[in-house]
Amino acid sequence: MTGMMRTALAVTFAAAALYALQHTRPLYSDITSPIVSWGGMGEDVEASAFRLSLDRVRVARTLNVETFGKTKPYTSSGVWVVAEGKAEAKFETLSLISGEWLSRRGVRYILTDRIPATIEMMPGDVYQPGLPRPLLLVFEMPPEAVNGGTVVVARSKLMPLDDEIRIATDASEADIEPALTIRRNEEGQPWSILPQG
Amino acid sequence: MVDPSAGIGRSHRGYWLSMAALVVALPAALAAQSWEDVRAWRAQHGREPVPAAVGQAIDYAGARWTVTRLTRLAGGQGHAVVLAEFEAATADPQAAGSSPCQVLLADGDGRTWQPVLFADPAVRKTYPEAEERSLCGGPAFAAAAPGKPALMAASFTVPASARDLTLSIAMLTALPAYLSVSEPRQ
Repeated sequence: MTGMMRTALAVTFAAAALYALQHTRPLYSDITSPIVSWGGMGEDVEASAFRLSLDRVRVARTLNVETFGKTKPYTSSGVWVVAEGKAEAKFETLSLISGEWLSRRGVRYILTDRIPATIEMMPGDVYQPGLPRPLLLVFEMPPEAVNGGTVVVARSKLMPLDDEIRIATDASEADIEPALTIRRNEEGQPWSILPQG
Repeated sequence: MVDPSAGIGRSHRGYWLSMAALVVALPAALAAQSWEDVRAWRAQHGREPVPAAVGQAIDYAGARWTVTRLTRLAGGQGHAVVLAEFEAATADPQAAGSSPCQVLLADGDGRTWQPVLFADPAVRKTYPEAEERSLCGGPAFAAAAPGKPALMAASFTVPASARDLTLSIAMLTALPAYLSVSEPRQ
């Protein structure tokens, strides 16, 4: 009888342990999720392969893009968010392909593909070790996603356990400008951001 | 008369034998599973430098290689431009061109730079003929006749402070061996 009791207890314990393991195990996406480095505006945020800083985030209803003497307006049913900063590779040449805006409610907005590639911006730039390079990220989103959003930058969305830098911005819905102009420069800083008028 | 303790002793022995077998079998299974991956990883990474000097011809990956120029030019805004010109003569340019080729520049701190896609204005101004050359790989070998050198070039943008630069040229078919050429002392 004692033997049967012991067996029953062992089976119950094993079943409970298996149940607990099944319900507490991390998802594959959690195990392989990026290694995140956090920072704020104006800070140099370091990941293992690259460093990043954001100097300014501006929000506008219309975006004018000026290249080779021609200006084209881009309207939106939402707003344009334009983030400027600097990025630098630490040890080897790399590209930063993945840029996202993470709203306070957890909604992610990827980089816009509406702006022509004649403006030098992420993605597409190559970063060399020891040579910081200006960084421009442009997003399109509803106005309510702007407040307290976070910029998330990584080499790729597809590399498990790779670096990811998250910078909490000071962007606010209250600071929406009617229009901004991104002008391509031929020398020095690759672009200028100009207010309306 | 059968001794019941003999059966218990046998089952205990079997239990501990199984545990001991697990200690051996588990690492062995892991090693067998990952051995191929480790071998493939080691084969795809340059680990055996074939040293050469600028101007010195050396056999590598079935061709006769010569780095004819490895020079540093002044760039703007705290950066320098490094131009590497090199050539490889082989009896079978088609075979050489079918192998992927990687060219890198490394400094004494272990940082590595890939060639830039478009040559810096400093290169275009000082060595305009370098623009006629292809990057290492198929197009350069396709343009060469058997036994004649395929002309190649790569330019890099590095910080002006980078020191002890080494050029490496790696053909996939010859890995883990790679050609390693140090920047001549000024």
